Amino acid sequence: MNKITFIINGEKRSIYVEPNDVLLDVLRDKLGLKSPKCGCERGDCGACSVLLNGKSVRSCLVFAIEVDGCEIETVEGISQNGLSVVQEAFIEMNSFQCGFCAPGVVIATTELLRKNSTPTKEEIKEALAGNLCRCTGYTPILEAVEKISHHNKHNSDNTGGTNE
Amino acid sequence: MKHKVVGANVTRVDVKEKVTGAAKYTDDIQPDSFYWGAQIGSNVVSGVLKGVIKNPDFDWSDFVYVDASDIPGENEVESVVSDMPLLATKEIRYWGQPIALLAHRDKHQLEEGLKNIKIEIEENPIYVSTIDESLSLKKEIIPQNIFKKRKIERGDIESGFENAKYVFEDIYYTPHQEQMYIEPNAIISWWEGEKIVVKGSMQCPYYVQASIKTVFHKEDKDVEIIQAYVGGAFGGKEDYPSILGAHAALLAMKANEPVKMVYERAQDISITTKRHPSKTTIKMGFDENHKLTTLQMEFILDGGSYETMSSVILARGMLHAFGPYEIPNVKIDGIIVATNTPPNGAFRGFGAPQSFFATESHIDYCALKMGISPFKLREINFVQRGGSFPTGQLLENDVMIREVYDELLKRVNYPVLRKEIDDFNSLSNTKRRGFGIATFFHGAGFTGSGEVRLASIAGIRLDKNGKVAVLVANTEMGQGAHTVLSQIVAEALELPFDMIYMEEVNTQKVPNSGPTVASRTTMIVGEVLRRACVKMRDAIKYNSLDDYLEKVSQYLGDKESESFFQQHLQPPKIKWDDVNYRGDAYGTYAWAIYGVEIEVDLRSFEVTLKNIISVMDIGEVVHPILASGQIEGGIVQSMGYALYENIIFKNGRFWNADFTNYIIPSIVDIPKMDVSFLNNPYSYGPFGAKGIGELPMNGGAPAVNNAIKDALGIHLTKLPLSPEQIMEAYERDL
Ligand code: FES
Ligand code: FES
Repeated sequence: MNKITFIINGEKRSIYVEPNDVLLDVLRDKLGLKSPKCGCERGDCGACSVLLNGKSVRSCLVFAIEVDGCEIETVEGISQNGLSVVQEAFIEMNSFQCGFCAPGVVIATTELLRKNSTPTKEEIKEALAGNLCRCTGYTPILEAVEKISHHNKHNSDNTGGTNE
Repeated sequence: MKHKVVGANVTRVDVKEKVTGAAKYTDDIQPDSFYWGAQIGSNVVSGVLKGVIKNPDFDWSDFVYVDASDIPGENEVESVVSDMPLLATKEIRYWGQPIALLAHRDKHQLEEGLKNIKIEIEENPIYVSTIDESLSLKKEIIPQNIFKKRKIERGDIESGFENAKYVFEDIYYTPHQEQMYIEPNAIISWWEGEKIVVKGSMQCPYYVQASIKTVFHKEDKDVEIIQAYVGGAFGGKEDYPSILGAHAALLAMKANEPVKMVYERAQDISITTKRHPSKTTIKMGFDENHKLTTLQMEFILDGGSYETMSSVILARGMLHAFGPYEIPNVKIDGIIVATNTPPNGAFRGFGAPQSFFATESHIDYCALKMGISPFKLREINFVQRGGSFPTGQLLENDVMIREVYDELLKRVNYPVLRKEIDDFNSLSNTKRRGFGIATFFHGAGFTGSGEVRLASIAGIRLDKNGKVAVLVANTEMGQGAHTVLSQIVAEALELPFDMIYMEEVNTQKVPNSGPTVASRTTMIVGEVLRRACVKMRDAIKYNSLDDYLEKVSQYLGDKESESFFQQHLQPPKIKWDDVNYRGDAYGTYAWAIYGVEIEVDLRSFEVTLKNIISVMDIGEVVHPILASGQIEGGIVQSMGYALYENIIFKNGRFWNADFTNYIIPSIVDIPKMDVSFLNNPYSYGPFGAKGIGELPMNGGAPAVNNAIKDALGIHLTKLPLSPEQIMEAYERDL
């Protein structure tokens, strides 16, 4: 067992992990953070995405031991002070069906909008290319993000815009 | 009639939980102490089981092990035909077939335990993996390798072909298709005294209950089945949870603690049900006016290694195989054959995507051969109001195929589009564009007398505070059923939407309103609910909301609540003859057309989807955004079926059991989609609604095939429509 210390959703935590423990399992089973989902455990589906030092990563491909000293954010963290702009847009557009892909899509979209508050359709598609959804045909997801982008473009003169 | 809640885009009842990560899917349920369960499957394709050997030097003290000898009741999987054992005892028919089960509290330890178990099987090196191998009796799995045969006949095909001016025949093939819900199959089970509880990702709680009752010889009251959030299903969680649920309950029986079984993706793809592969031989005869007078088909489905529910999938495939046409002489032979692959099962469309691929591709092929436009050929042959299907079903005002077709041509402005495409093609050296259509339909509800047999019961419960709970066993798996059913109840009671809520889908709390399959939830269960609401309104008369609350408290008095139930009523005039396959196969049909514009690269032969236009009649649209979402999602699944999805079978097992090699469409693959609805209300659906869930799966593959035919002049007969196949046909036809 190795001790690791990291910041999870704004809170500092130290835990013991085995060298072969996968971050996804540690988040879900040890820390009780269930929003990252396991759809494939090999980096293909994006359902397990979390923000690691602000960058979206597939937590099924990261060993827990690697995150010592890092900062991790999950959808629980994003939701902790009420709904984010991204979540509100997805609710408004009824963007999800079964919802199993939703946490991963929220993570990828949050990362995109923090970097680029007014992405084009092509940029949105590129950012979400690794998040598989079998239900929706992606249209309502794309439309929700496009809507935020338009809104930000419109308001950028006044606010300079934060995107959460 | 103008409705208030029906037709409105209310917010989905479950969307907030889903975007905040609060929704608890099965694997998110974590009791304080529990076991992880795993399955020990066959490591050969075919053979005879000799034994399971647990390494005597390994410490088994914290493990729970189950094999067939632990089963208290029947060792069988309850289905239409219950021919599959829950755990194999002797005969092995497919790779991965469940033999034993193992559980441990620690995931890593469980892995270790699995490594210390050896299965001994006397292998039979000969096995059957395709329909053609099965028919050639490469090996006999069951007598003649035939599970079932059915027939639909009308008129006289012999004289039909004799008198035909044109006759064309071809053979079409479709492969397995994996449902590929993003949440793999998952179940958790525990015992409370004598009662078994199973909670999980499932479409049909009462199917799981029936399965457990058989395996454990239990009564209804001792088997409680609860639906958790379902991360997609598409038919793939119709029958499989009956197996997984019983496995978990067996382990829980011996563990004396909850047992959770969550399949890994590779395992889920390798051993759970898929869309049946098909081989369809089709022959069409036309008279001098291009009237389709005669159709002969042999529609063969690969059932896999056990029959289970294949016969009803065959039936639906055959009952959609004749297309939206009036044909006087018809003979359709349906056959299910056995192969050494996992049993195939339900997947959105349920046999119809396979038969429509053949029929709707063949119509365009015949048009090409006769030198007339595929549009014209359809116009000549569409079934009309007052016409009939080959089963003898009279179609009165229910036919909308010509209307959706006319609407599509209007929306795409076909003459202009044609010119654009032709101009593009004459200028480009490296690319070709094409436009193709497919016309199709889907019968909602169980086939034939199925709904009468189901005799579904649904209801509502009026609570003291005036809120109304919806009592159904139909599951929310993303399709929006719980939102739509709540809307129907709100409308029928003339109450605000937020006064309606869903009771937990739990066999001890809700009646058996039937399985969540066959595009039946909105239309059949919704109508039973609407009638339950009428019953409540007969009991309590109210005018306004204030008045309502007052009357409710008068009516209930000291009681906490009162429930109102109704049972499915078969619409009058519907007659079905199960033996001869004659009559009204479905109460009604939803009608549809796709127009697909594609571009083919002449160097890579890759197909790019540019534009998909869909026009459908689904009766009254209860929730326009959710309905469009169903159609868009279905279109994209059908595009996957058309272009990429293909299970590859190597050395007797599925080789590409992952997302890397089994390709489903991603956000970069999706075309522009234009989805619209015509509204021809169905008198026996709630507020005129019909079923829609499966419809969008039926037309995608033939529409893309026809667009490729338009672009390149080639005729393809096999799914997926891969670059290799296109290149071969293109170079051959040059
Ligand atoms: S579970 Fe990590 S990418 Fe699929
Ligand atoms: S909503 Fe079901 S996978 Fe995306």
